[in-house]
Amino acid sequence: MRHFPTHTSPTVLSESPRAASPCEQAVGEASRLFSVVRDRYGFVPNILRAQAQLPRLIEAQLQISEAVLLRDGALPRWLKELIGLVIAADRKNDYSAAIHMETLRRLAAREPTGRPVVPTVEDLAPSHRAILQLALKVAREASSTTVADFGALRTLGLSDAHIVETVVTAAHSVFQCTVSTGLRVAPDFDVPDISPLGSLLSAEASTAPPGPHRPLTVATGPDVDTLAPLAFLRRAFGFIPNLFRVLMLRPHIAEAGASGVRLVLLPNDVLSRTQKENVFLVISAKNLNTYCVAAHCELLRGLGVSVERSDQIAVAHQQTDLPAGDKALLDVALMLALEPARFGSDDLATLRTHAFSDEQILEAVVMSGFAQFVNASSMGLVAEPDFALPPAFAAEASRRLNRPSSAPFDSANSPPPNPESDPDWAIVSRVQSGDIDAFEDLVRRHGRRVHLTLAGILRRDEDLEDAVQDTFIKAFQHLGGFQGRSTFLTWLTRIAINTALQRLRGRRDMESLSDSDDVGDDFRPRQLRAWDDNPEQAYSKNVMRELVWNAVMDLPLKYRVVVMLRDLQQLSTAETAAALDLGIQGVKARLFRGRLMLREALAPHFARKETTTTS
Amino acid sequence: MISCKDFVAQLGNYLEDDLAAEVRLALDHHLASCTTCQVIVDSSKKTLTIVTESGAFELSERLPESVTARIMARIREMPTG
Repeated sequence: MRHFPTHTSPTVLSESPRAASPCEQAVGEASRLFSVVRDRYGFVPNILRAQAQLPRLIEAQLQISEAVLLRDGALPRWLKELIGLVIAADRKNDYSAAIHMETLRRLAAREPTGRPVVPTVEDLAPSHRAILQLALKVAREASSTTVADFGALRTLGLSDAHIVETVVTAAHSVFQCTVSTGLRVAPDFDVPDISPLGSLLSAEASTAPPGPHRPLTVATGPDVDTLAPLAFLRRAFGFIPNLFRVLMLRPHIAEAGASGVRLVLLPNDVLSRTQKENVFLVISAKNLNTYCVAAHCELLRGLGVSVERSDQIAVAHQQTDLPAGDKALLDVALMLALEPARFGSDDLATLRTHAFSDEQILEAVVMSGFAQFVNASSMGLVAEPDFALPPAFAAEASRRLNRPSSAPFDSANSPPPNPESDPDWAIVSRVQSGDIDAFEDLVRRHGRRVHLTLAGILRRDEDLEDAVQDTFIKAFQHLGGFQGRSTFLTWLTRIAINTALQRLRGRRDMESLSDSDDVGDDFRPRQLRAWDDNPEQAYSKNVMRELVWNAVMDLPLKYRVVVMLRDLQQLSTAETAAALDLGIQGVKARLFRGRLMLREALAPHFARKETTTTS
Repeated sequence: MISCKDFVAQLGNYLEDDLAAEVRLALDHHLASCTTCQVIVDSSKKTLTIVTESGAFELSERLPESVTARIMARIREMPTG
């Protein structure tokens, strides 16, 4: 089994045992592109090196970032880089944060303006502040953008071109964050401390009086359709998407977007066009992006897929008869696009088990990023849908839009972040609003569980009480930032696990929780005698408890933790994945292996005394 | 043809009933004629019952009062604001 290193090598999708450098692998077209990039930027970013196998993807991203970030336009370059930095910080994406911070430093060194490299909210002009707020909104929850947001910017004297650049810059950041997460790219520069960005991330909503609530100007008229990007799209799609008519406010951006379509979406040589359309469709549906769902159902219809079928895939792809591999592809794309914090190397490894090649996995990652780019752009610019919505998705969208507590950015695998459904939420809220004594209830409620979680990792009794104290103190200190995206218990368990791991690092016999050794399929059961009929009655309760506890404690750490959370604490798979920062598939693989190892360990106590035939 | 090794590799998904219909069918076919895998399936199910019902992770007990008191004392000493 192959592994995806985490933040170590830029060429994560390469598997050459002689560890050829990225440049060696980048033959022909890729190395030509790299030398262009080196001339222009002074270095080749790791995010592009990691894509050497498919130069057309590199070309697409170069064209888009050049049109969005480098070309002079309505927004100054530093503000666009600041948007990138703030969105990267908001998404905790080290790769993007590092590259935008370095660019801001270089810009400040080249043209000293007296402005700090990273300004605070107070340093920014009101119009720049409003631009940053719109960008963050687009990156966080583009589906909530309305034309009223444009009104606020217009009052401050900003034009439609400013609005387009703001939205597309935010969408570009989401694109970059998605791809760097998916390819697990190592940062090119030191990862900046993002804590000074706090004021920018939590800036108050603009207090400007509302301005004219009208949509953006759309390019119309008899000659418009003959303009290069639009004419290309009409040929490729059979229609000109309204999104691109809006983007024509900045024609070079429309052109770069059309190149993205040509180089990422249309080719059929790696993943099939239909597979990519499906990736686009499920990501759009999860985003509640009515614009993109309508457009891509139409595009799939053009590829011979009925609207009924696309509608079904949009709403619940797992319930369709798509091949298992295609379903896994859509699961991974959704996780990467909408829950990047939970995305892990296991998710890519899952695609390998479904026989996807390096190139296909690379293309799936970039496709997910490009879909996020188009999603954020179309929702952020409030593009008018080109077609009617298919019925099942329309019903699903109105159901979800009418229930504000169910956030659109939520996985099918985890419960919606509805804090009221968390039994601890009421107490947590009291502590958050200053009632320190209420915290004692949380300690009483979960103290024993925290104690056992820590014992399960640390195994020895020494320091255990200290570790329990540390866990609760840390939880208290960070409770202000807890927003109920997971249950309090999952969040607390995560703190307990991190506390225990920190202590383990100080020990000489440190075990690893990381993926460095195999969860392959080479495990061979050795205990092959049949078991007694009612093994649970073979021993007293106390003996049983001790047998199980000892067997679990003898497992290697990576299996022990998963078995402990899942089978002993009975957390769900999604909760376990969230607590350990692993993918769902990774949790399952470790759980199954851990259980098999437990079976081996328990067999001598429960197997029948007589031998049966073993083949 | 499914081998015992293939079967064991899919065992987790098999027990959780998380498999495509055709894969499940192939595994069932193997299982019907393989005593070794029958033993593994049976003992794996029993392992799960034993582990989840053992009470090894007994939550009814409480953290010692002294620990709770120490935590709360440290929290109340912390500077506010």
